Amino acid sequence: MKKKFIKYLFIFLLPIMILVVGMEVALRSIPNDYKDKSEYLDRHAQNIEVLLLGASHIMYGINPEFFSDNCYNAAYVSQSLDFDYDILMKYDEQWNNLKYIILPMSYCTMTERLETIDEWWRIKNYLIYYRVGKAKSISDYTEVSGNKLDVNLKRLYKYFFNNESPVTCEENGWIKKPFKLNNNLEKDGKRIAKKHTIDDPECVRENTEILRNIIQYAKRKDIKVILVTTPTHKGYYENLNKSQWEMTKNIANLMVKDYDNTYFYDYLSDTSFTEYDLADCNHLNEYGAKKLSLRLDSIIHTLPD
Amino acid sequence: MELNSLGFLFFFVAFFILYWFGTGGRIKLQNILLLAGSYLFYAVWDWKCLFLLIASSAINYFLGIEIGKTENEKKRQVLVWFGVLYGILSLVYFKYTNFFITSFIDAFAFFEISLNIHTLKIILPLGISFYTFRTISYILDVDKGKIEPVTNWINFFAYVAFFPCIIAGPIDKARTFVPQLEKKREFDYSMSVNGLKQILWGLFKKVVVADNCAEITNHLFADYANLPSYLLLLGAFLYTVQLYTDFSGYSDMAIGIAKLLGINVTINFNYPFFVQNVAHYWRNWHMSLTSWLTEYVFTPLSIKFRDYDKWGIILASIINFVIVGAWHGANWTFVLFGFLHGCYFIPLILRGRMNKKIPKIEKLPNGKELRNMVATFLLIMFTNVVFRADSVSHAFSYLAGILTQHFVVNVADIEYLSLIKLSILLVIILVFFMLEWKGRAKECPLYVILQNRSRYLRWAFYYVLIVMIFLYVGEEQEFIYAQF
Repeated sequence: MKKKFIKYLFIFLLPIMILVVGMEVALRSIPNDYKDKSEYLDRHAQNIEVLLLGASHIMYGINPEFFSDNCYNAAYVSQSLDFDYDILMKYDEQWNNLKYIILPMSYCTMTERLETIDEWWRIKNYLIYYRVGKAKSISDYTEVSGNKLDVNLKRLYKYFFNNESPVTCEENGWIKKPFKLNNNLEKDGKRIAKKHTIDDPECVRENTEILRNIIQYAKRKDIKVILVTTPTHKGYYENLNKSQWEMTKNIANLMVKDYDNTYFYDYLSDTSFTEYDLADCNHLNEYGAKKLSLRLDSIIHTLPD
Repeated sequence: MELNSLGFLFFFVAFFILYWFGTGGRIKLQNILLLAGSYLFYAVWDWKCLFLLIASSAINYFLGIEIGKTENEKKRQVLVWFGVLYGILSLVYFKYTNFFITSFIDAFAFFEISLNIHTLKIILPLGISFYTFRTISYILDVDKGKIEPVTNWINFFAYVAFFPCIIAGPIDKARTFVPQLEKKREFDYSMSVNGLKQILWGLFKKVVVADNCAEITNHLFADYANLPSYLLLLGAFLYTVQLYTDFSGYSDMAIGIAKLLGINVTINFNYPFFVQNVAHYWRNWHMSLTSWLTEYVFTPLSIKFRDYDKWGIILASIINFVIVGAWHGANWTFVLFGFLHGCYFIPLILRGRMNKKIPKIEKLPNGKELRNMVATFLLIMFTNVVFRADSVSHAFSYLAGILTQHFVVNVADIEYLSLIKLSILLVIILVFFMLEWKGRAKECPLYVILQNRSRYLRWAFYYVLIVMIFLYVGEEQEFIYAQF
């Protein structure tokens, strides 16, 4: 009876197992930004002089093309400080030429972790393609259970039948947000500011610790750390929770005070960035990215040795 | 490790193989494996509180033996009271200490007196509400002679910690569970197949129905002040469905897993929305808790208050249901929830209908039966708003909103409310209840649906359910009753 049960169960599950395994293999073979960035760092980490880490504000907002040094944008959507640290550590023995690390100091940098927000499903991308990060469960190691079935089917259809590559990053890791006039900046700013307002003291404590670890690591290796708050629209910065923003700035200023290799530049409400530089209320478009990148490049070269 | 997680799947596959193929059918080895597996399962959830579980098992094990041995009635009663109080006090300490402190502070704050006391950092051990009731029922049953004291400590510890049921029930009584551990368990093909069917149905309920309802209800309950009455009503409806499918889905999985191990666990739900009054609802909702409280609380109270006739029964009902409510958690909303259900019994008791046998509906309900079912559903839905609310004032505001917030909003502007997704969910809920109606003769609809048809047709139907589980898997939500 046991053998009969196992036999019929196996026959029943076989088509499902074949489909699941097949789908997992197929999904992993689709090129993606995480794979691209990971492979680039595998090959070129030893040559990089300026490393950009962080989330979408950096990913869209700083273009390595406008740096005079060898620069790479290893930031990605919702990439939190813990993953920035893990990526940095992964290539520890290869940062032979690294001189500057640029990190975001955005309104929500200290209050968010990837595992605690809506984008938690991206954790599997770090585990599978970067081979960094900590899994909360076995399903974090699989593509199949990382997204809903219809999302995965769409991905497979787009790549294998429509020949659409999902890779969006340039060779230097930057992702372009093309210029497009946006009339909803004021309204979106209010909504997004509310979405980014999070009260999580435990997360702040943990992120502060991680930031400190990054800075201390950089100091040991004679690397400068530049903390940057990228420009945003008035509709966004006027609706921020004052105490959350003050807390974030205080942490940045504390790091600058404690570590002589750390610098903080706050462009949150910088009026030299206009609506024409913004793709949305809190991300720069390609023109804004160029402006900011040129400015940062000139700043880092004026920093004392 | 949730029962619907990949991690649990790997754990259980390995466990199942060891249990049936690695123990050579020897009961002792199977029970040792059950105990070890249960402790491993619990430790993955909450290893720090594993020691409390073991201590609780040990105390009640020795108490049971002593109670069984003691002929001195006074000593016996002391031991019984010790066992009962140990369980109740540990439950009260872990679950309700901060609730009492907060309520104490709030009471004084009402009179504008500020107290300099703070809540304590107490972690609620997982499953304590469930395994404590298992141990208390054991002590009381030994005292009443309903079960001989369990002398085999492995069997007793395995009963208390039985992993499919420890997190969210069902709450089995030792007298029905332990004998199964004491006799040889042969692999039963039909029982195992039924177990798989029940797991599949439970997964479908939890992942497709409950989790997708939760995606919407979480937002509706948080944003209630800005929503019109029809959306608040929708929220109340969806939450009622969510609570049922979440909890009964877990119970189905737990029962199905137990069946795969050759163990019958008590049924916890018997289609509670196909009932015609609240008394009937409670005979079919969370049956293991209701039966526990009926046996150990309601019946003794009814006997104690018998001199007060129907008013004695009303008082016993209200106390019983306040305990039902409070058992769920440390918030006045749960107490109010229980109290309201106790009040629902008043007209039934006064009219002598509390225990009235309701004739089974053969095919479809007639007008009166349908009206009763809808009315009962609405009464339950109303109290589930209280159950779900963060506070009593939140509950009242939400319910008041259903009656008073008659403005119009453009649903398309509500980010979390996609009309297409909502429509699909409502269709799924309708089909789900139709399948439950069709299969209501048995413990699980899948024991009935397509049973007289070919295996290929049945398998095709199961594949459809599996595809839906993968397709409609929503945002992963913790099992609601795991937090109790």
